[in-house]
Amino acid sequence: MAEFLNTTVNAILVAGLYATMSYGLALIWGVMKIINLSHAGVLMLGAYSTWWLSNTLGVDALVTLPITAIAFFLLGMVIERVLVRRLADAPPITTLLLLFGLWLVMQNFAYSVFTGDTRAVLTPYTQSNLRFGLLTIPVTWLVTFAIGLVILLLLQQFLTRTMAGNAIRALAQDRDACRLVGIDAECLNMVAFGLGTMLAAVAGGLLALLFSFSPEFGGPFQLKSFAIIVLGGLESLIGVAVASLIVALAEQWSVAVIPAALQNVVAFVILVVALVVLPNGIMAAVRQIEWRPFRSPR
Amino acid sequence: MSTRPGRVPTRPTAVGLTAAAAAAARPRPRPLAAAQRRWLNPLAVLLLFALTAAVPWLTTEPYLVLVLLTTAIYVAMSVGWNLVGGFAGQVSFGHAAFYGMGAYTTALLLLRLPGATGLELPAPVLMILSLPLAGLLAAVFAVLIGIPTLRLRGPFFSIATIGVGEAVRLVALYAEPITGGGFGLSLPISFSELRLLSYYVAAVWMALVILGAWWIERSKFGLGLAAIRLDEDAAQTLGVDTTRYKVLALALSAFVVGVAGGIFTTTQFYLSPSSVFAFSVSITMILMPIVGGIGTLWGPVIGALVYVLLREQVIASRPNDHLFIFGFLLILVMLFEPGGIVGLARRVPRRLGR
Repeated sequence: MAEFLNTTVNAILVAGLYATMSYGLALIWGVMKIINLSHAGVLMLGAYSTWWLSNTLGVDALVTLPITAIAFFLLGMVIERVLVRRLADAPPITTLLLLFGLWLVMQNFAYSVFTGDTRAVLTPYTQSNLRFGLLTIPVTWLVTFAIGLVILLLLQQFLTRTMAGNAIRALAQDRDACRLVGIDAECLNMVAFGLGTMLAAVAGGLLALLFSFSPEFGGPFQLKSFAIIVLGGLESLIGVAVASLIVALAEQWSVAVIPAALQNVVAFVILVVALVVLPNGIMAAVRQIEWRPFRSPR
Repeated sequence: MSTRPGRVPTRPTAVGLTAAAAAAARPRPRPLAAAQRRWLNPLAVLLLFALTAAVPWLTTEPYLVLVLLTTAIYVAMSVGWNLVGGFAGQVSFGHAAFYGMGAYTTALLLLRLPGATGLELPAPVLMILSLPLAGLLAAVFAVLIGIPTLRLRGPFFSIATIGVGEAVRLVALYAEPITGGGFGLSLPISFSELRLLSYYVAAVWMALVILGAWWIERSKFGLGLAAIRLDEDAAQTLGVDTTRYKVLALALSAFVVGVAGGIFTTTQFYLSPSSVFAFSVSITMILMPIVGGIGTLWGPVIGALVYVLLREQVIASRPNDHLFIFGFLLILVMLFEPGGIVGLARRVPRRLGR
């Protein structure tokens, strides 16, 4: 029972992080209709950035997160301006392969700068746990969950309360209509790509507090992000949050049934099931269940 | 004013238009009639096969034979990937799964079949018998995987195939009794005595695969795939059973790649899931046709040759930078010439004013 409770709580905590990393992918898809295959590379570089900054500056890993965030926001804008924009009118698969090439370059960059050794970000509280009766919660999991949640709330405020945020949401709905009312779609593409890259990098930095990493780090998490945004419906924040929880719970609970080595297969199974059963995401499926207590008057 | 078919109606007032129309209507000099040109492709395949088959007679350099053997396998893989990635436009990132399955089918049949059934077949016979099975297993798996994932369009299918490749790799690593897990399987040295046979088998398979691709490209099936690549909705409206066509293309592609994996095994002393199911195998299969010219008949062949040259010359001296090279190649091709080398070659005469 205690074990079940612990895995469930852990799943909820890691789901916050999954939501942060997946939302980067969902944002870029929503605005630009591009699947960002360099997501994995950015997650991995975000982890290295956190590790390197906290080692060189000699400060806590969490303090360096804003630097990582700003740096990767700028990097994302540059990637959009220099590479992605040139293929705006090309078939989507071209951009996919371009960003895939970028992922390979990022991986090689990490190999040549940081070598292939496995690294870990260690903090004074890495080993400490909080105990509540039966529950044992590692401090790092709680901290990363809280930060992930704060970032998502800030993002949600940005998207709903500011002019630029509203314009980004409008772009996701109807590009041509936006152009007609004078929204600078190209500039906002850049901002959206920057934000998506930033979210991935920060999520990578937070993941580095929980797991050890190497230049191969991003791949499985990219697959999970993808499973999450497909399950959650590609553009909805609540959908992404619910789907993160589903994927995290499925992964944590699956360990009771299947060997831990196959844990990463769970995300793939969810992905295929979601694509076949719920092609428009879980929120669309929920919305389809109409509850009609009365017949509508004719 | 009556116009003959094939001729653009022109107005005498628009001088520029008249000149352009006249240029368009002027018959271009054609070195060969269409009926003769039809046989150029199979002739080229025969020539390629003859050249490859002649090499062991001309040289006994084992290194050269080995390089050419791998080249032939790569050409088959590249053309095979192109069946679904190029002809149908469904880019797969998971072909390592089919390759690895083919490799393991052949290896396990060669290793275990004599012991399990008491059947004493000579190794060359067993090898040749195992190859169709290797392809068949990969194709059956492709159908099972394709039915759910090929309902997805373009980029979504691509992402799902990353999942397929990764899931199969993890399962293969875990299934230690069958695949040897992280330790892999050692293959008996006697396999390497088959090398000359493997060489000819690889050459034959390469030629057959290119011929098959040529035939598919011209068939109704190939036209259906081209329609799917260009506009899937339109293809569906016109009565192309898109999902069935795509699944069939994936199965054929997996068959080709599975057999290639089987041939590869017979040249090795050691086989492990982390070598044949690796993501890098999938990357190689994407890179070759894209560099050569995705969706064309000869592009994947040229791409495979370029890849082998690159691997032998550049990557051998800078082994740590191969991902840089692959990544930059992909980025450059996508930015400047998505048609690859073939696209570039087609562009040159146009630039010169033909």
